[in-house]
Formats: sequence, structure tokens, C-alpha cells
Amino acid sequence: MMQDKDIQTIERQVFRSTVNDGLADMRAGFILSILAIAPLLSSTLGDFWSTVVWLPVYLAADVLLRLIKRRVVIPRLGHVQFGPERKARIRRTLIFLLGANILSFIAGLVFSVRISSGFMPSPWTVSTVLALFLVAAFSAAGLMMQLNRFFIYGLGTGLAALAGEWLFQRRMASHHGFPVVFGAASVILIGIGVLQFMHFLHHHPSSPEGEKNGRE
Amino acid sequence: MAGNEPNGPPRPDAGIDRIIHEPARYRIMATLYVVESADFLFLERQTGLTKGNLSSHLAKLEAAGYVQILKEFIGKKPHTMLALTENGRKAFDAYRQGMKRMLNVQEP
Repeated sequence: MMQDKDIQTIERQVFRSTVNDGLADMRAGFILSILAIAPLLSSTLGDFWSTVVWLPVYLAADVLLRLIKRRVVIPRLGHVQFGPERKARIRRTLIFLLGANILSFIAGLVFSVRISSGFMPSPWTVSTVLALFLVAAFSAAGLMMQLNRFFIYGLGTGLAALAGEWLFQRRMASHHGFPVVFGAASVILIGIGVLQFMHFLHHHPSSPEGEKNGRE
Repeated sequence: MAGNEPNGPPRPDAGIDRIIHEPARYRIMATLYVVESADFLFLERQTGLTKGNLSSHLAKLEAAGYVQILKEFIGKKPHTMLALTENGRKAFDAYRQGMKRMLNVQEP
């Protein structure tokens, strides 16, 4: 019964209902697909351009997901403005994610420069750093959206990074296993997102125009 | 509001706001309490109430001065949002405190 629930629990549930439409899972899946596709293209295009050519594909997917949110999800869910505490929490997480991305970008640059001057870290070190980054990024997203499955995604993709290296060391996969493990991870995440989106559509039938605001 | 029995001890439910105490209205108040504002459709989805039911409960809450209607523009379209008034927030806080007190009194 709702009267027994703490007010914070209600706030979390209300917030979670606005992000639990599967689109975040699909977006995460598309981001992971960069890690799967870029190494395959790198042999022909080089490390830099293999990532760059994949970005428009990711951006197109991002625009599509934003359109779905605006045109399909919000008209079925309704509009809501959250309070200052929730907004501040979202801002803090986004700043953390932005900081993590900037740090990883700088680390990547330093890494590239050092590799060109003869430095070669252990492949396990690289995989472990990537695994930790994935765990941290997915956990921050899970914390922000109050979606527990994102913690599992973080753990799963972190382990996938290590599993990829393990497969590569045993000559069972190319490119440090990235295409196999992150390809599989992105398919799983996009698949879960699609199922979650269908679940959302099933439980949120479209509301006829004009009845959206029953008090107008 | 619940009163006291004439010449008797105060009833444990004294001070419990009957407007908020109705489960459907409590759900509406609780949802609006945790957000800044929400539209009719969002409240309908969150509370699971039918349009008619939600409309009638909102009318009662509005008449009590607990809920206010805000006209906003989303893009270029006018949009009706609902929010708790300051009185509504205070009444909801008081209701929760009252319920806690009542439950504490009734514990053996």
C-alpha cells in the first residue's frame, strides 16, 4: 500500500517510470557497438578514422532515439517536471560522466603518444582499465536513472573486456576479442532495450489527441 | 477533519485531513509532492485512476486549495500542468505527521 512507502521511494519510482522505456539500454548498446566495429575497420582505415566513420552511425541512432522519446514515449507517458533535488542529482551525474569521458580521452591521447615513443603496456592492463571504466560509467548511469540492471550491464561489460583479452590470448578471437564480446554485448543491450520498449508500449497505450489534458 | 468525542479523550485520528486520507487523493498528492509539476496524463499513468475519477478527485483537491493548475507552453503548444500549492505541501506534511502520530499511539 502506498501509505506505507517512504516518500523517497515514491520519488524514485516516479522518476524511474520516466526513464524505464528501453531507450537508454538501446543507446548504451549503440555506444558499445563502436567498440565492436571500430577494431574491425581499423585494419583498413586506421585507428582514428575507423572510430570517426562510425560516429555518424551512432549520431543517427542517437537522433532516432531522441525522436522516439519525444514523439512516442512522452505523448504516452505525459509531461513531468522534477524538483530541484532530482535535477541537481542528474546534473552531478552528468558532470561525473563528462569528467570520466574527458579523463579517458586524455588517457587515450597520452597512451597513443607513449605507444608511438616505444611504450607498450600489458594487454591485461589495458583491458582492466577499460573494464573499470565500463563498470564506473554504467554504475553512474544506473545510479542516475535508478535502474538496477545498469549495474549488471557494468559488471557484464567489464567482465566482457577481460573475457575478450582471454579469448585473444588463446587465439580464439581477433582484435583483443572486442568485436566478439562487445558485439554480443551491444546486441544483448539493444535486444533488452527493444523488449523493454515493447513492454512500455503495451502498458502505455497511446492517448487520443485532446484527451491528454483532461482538464483543458 | 475528524473531531473529538464530546467530553471524551481526543480521538487518535484527530487532525487527520479527510480530503487527503482518501486513497486515490493520497496517491495524487504523493505523486505531486515528489515532483514540481505534472500533466493530467502523467498523473493518470502514475495513479492508475480513470480520467473521470482523476478529474473529480483533482476538482476536490483544487477546491481545498491543495492543487493548482499551471498553463505552460511546451514548444508552441499550450499545456496544462498540475502542481501542489504551498498549502497543499503543508497539508500533506501535516497529514503524514498525523498518520505517524496516530500509528504510534495505536501501537501496543
